[in-house]
Amino acid sequence: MSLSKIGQLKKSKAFTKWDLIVYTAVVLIVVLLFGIFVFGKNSAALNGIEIVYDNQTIFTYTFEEDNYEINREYIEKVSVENDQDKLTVTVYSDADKSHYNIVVIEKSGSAYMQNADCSYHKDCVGMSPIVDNRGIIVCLPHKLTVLPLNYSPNPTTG
Amino acid sequence: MKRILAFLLCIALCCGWLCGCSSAITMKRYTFSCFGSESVLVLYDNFFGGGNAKYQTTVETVAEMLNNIDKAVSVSNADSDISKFNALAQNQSIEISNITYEILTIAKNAYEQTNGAYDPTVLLCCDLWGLTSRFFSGSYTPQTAYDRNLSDYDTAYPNEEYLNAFKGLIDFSAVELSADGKRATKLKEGVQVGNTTYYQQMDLGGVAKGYAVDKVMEYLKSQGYIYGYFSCGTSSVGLLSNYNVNTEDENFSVSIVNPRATENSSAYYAAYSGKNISLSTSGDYERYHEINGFYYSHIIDSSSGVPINKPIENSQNGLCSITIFGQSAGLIDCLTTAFISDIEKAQNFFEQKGGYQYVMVESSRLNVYTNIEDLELLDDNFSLQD
Repeated sequence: MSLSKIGQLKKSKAFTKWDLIVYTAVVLIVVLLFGIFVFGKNSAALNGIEIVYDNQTIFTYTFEEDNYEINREYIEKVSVENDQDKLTVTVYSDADKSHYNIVVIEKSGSAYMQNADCSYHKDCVGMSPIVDNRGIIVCLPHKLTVLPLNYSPNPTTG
Repeated sequence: MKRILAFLLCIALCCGWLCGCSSAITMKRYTFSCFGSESVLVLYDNFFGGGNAKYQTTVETVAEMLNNIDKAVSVSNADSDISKFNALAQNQSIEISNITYEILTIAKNAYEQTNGAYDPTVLLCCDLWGLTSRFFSGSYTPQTAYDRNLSDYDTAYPNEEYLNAFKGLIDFSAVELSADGKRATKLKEGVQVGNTTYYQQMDLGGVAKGYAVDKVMEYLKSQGYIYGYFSCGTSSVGLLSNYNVNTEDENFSVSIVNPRATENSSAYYAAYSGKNISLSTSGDYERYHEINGFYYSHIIDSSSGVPINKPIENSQNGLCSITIFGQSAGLIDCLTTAFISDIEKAQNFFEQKGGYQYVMVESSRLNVYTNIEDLELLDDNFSLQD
């Protein structure tokens, strides 16, 4: 390398304006994504409802997108009435559709068990509505669980 | 050139980050059906690659453990050791499994420590009051000579002749275990009502859930799991540590069911913060009959044969909820049953023994008694007492 070239390199700046813009953009993207994925998690607000039958997710609904999905394998067991302000989801727990649970999802952000033919006391119908990411409704005789999509798994006892 | 390098650096960062995500700790939740209720296993771990195979083995092993315990002591399984024991006459004995022996040993220990306040031989009294599971299954039909129509259990007390007879059968000291732990003998003499002779019967359902929690927690720790919990029907829970990406707090927040929840009140009355501990809750609000506006719950007073919360002087007696925290879920399961009738007896026991934390709610006034300093009350209808 000639002496003039070395002198030229010594005089030049380590970073040009465009270098700094690119590096700053990279740092900003990394910080932004970190913030979204780390601090955006575990919000107590309810973001959707999941219905689980025998440890398989059979139905999901997201409030923000007002969109529901039924697991293809269980399409015969789940029927949905989609009204303006609520979804009424009927889940049949046997093949001849003689036993059922009716879950109502209020689009304003809650869900509850409206009816079931599971037992004398119908414990699941009396359970508190799900209004945040901690709530859960269990129908033991029908192996059905209704829980938030972003369920916070802190235990309950009682 | 530098900009190209910067772009490549950006790509590398994103790839590294995504790879980091793929090896990060995530949560899995699995439910089991056992002991007539739902059990939940929540674990945080790296479930990718070998972690997933380990998780599958864990789930299968836990399912087998629960199944074996259920088979050993379930009174709804005619082939269980306890069902066979209940069918025995006086001085007859049966061979028992190691699981049944271990559970009976825990029950015997609790029986002695509580001076008989915990006694699992109350099953016939519980059945007489219409408080066993067959009355809540949705398919009840009268089967025994003392059975009534379902609606009658919400209006009147049982027949006194049966009550006095069945009360006389409550005596856990008359269940004898052989020195080698292989046999159980029924020593109690039968009682005759009408043409039928009734013999002592027991139900280890309460202690079995705690025993299951102890066994599952022991297994999870042996497999190297650090984060998660196991809840057996919500009445018995074993906690490892909590995994939270947002904070370094490894405590779980355990919400305790509001025993007097209404549509307008909170579903939980208190929250406990803790880790690496077991807990058990008993209450009067799950399996009960309501006679003249008062609760008659499934926990039977071993000294009288009546539900522990039977009203006294027109006021609901005892506690409507008791939660105890300790290291042996099996033992504390028995203690919640033993002490739900009497606050003073419970507090004296905890003072003498030490090492337990508790939260108790008085039925009549919803006063809360606890020795946990940072217990959080979630419902204004409950008030903390000194």
